Amino acid sequence: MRKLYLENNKPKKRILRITRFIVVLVVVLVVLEVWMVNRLSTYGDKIQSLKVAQADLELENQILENQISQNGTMLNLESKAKALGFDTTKNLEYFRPANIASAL
Amino acid sequence: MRLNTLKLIYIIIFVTILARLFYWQVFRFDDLSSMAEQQHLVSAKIDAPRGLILSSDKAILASNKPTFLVFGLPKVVKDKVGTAAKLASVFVTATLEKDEKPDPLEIKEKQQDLLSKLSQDLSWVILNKSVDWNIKKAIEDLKIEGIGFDSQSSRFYPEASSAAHVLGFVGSDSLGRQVGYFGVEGFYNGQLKGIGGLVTEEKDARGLPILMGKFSLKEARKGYNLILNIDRAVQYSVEKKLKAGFIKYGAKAASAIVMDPSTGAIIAMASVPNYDPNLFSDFPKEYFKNSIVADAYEPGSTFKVLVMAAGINENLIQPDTLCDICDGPLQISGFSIRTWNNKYNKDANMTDVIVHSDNTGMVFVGKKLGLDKMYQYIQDFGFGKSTQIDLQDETSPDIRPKNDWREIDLATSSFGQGIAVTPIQMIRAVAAIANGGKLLEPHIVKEIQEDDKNTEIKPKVISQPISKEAAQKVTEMMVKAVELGEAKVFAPKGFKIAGKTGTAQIPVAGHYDANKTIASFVGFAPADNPKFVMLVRYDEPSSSIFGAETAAPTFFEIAKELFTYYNIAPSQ
Repeated sequence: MRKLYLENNKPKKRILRITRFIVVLVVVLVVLEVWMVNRLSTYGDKIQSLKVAQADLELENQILENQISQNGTMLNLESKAKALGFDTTKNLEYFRPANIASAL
Repeated sequence: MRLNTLKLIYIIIFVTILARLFYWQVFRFDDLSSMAEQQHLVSAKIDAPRGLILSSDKAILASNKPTFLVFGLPKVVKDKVGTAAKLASVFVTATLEKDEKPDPLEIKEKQQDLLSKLSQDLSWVILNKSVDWNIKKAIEDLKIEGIGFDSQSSRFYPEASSAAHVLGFVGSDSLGRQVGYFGVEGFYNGQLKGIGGLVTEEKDARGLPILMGKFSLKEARKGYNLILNIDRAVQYSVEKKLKAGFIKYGAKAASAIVMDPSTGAIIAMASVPNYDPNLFSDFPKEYFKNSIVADAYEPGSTFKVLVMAAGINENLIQPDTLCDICDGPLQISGFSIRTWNNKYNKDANMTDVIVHSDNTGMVFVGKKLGLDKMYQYIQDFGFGKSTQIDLQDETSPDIRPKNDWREIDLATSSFGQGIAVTPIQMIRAVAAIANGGKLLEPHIVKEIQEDDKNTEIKPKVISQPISKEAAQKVTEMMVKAVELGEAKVFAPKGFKIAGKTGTAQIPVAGHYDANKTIASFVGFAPADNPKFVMLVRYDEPSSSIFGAETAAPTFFEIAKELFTYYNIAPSQ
């Protein structure tokens, strides 16, 4: 008789256990979300400062890129080459194959 | 009884509150939620950076420069006089050269201007536009309360005026949007400008983003990069030589173009006077037009090689065909047609006609061709219609309808007078002689770089107006023109160059002015396997009216540099 009673109560207990688990899970999730929201909501200024830093770096990159291109203009290269003693070739001498020594 | 009354009152109050809440929560839900969203949801546009323009060696020709708008908050700025003085000093000093000292008067004027702006009864005033990053830093270091900055972007051309007519510039349209004008900036504006994005996020009372809040992002698509066929070393050399010639020969204007005859790629394109696209608003509007694609002119004797090519292609003449009408001036429809030096050679063959630029010999060829064929070849060589070059300002002068042509028109067009062309049309037609008869579409852009793919602009053959054999025969005639013609003294020795001078009188008020000419030289080298085809043109040179004494020397000077640059050794 007692055995029958226990067998009849088995599904009820399982439902109860599942319900308890769900309730605990929901409570944990709610607490977790509250904790996360509370924690992350104070991160706004950090995100903002990261965004500003990113924009500043991009800006600086662009400025440096422009400086490089300005330093590499043909006019600048020519004046730098002249300052280093290079000059335009006035007379080019071409060697004909017959004039070049070769070993046989 | 009293208890029941109290109960009723409570129920009424409860129902009223419930009804009111229902009203706010259900009926007014949409209005109120959107009002709330407006208060804490902030949307910001994301600007799409304009694409870069690069030369064939991937050097930057057009880029973006971060600039800033300086604004003031008059109601926040406490010491207006002091602020105006500090800012004026920064703004004026920034415009000076390295060792230049600031003018106190200029600073005072600027200070007055800033003070008047800051004294206005407004919440926000613009103090300066398009200031550099360095100026922004200098102002930030002053730590003035009530002064702020808005980011902007302006176009930056590091090579300044170099290739200005190829590039064009970026200005604002009537709605204040950035738009490319002229050149590549204008033609490829759609590809270069990109598409802006939008970010929407929830922000707190301090304007800081709420990480767990709503967030949506529509990414901006940056503009495509363009890689040009322009070789900046060749471009620089061409510009330098052209500018020197422009001054030396006292010309009103000058232009030069270098093209790869096998692909139609434009390697260099220069016009004088030109402008700096960084400061385009400081230059007269007339300077913006690219004369190479937008100016019509009578090509004069450079056109003779095309008519000769037509005659040879039709088998009507050969290089050694004798001219039987070249012994003196020709009378056509009451007009007298002479040679440029009034010298006549009755035994001249077709090569002599090209070498000595004989107008009577060309009338002989024109007569052989007849109007129908002449007209057909003019069209086949691409005159009368746009070349489809990828520059915004191309125009194409019309060719007079065939029915309107008289005998004299056929005669004069055979030596390049009475017909209008653009320099780009002319060089493309001569390139057809250089490459064995193929008429190509000229291209400035070599490659379009998109986010995930690169599109290469491939050479496009439009038609084949003449055969390879005819092209070879005309090439040899042009080589003789360089070796034996009027400009032979300027030609570099040992190189096989094909070329032709041109001196075209300019029509003024219904007649030709003998003292005003367009002097030009068109040619290609090395003649057997051309690496480049080039056209040099001077408008109204004053030191000499002849192409042989102005355009030809410049052509050969540029050619000499190109031989070295391309490692081309002399063949003779």
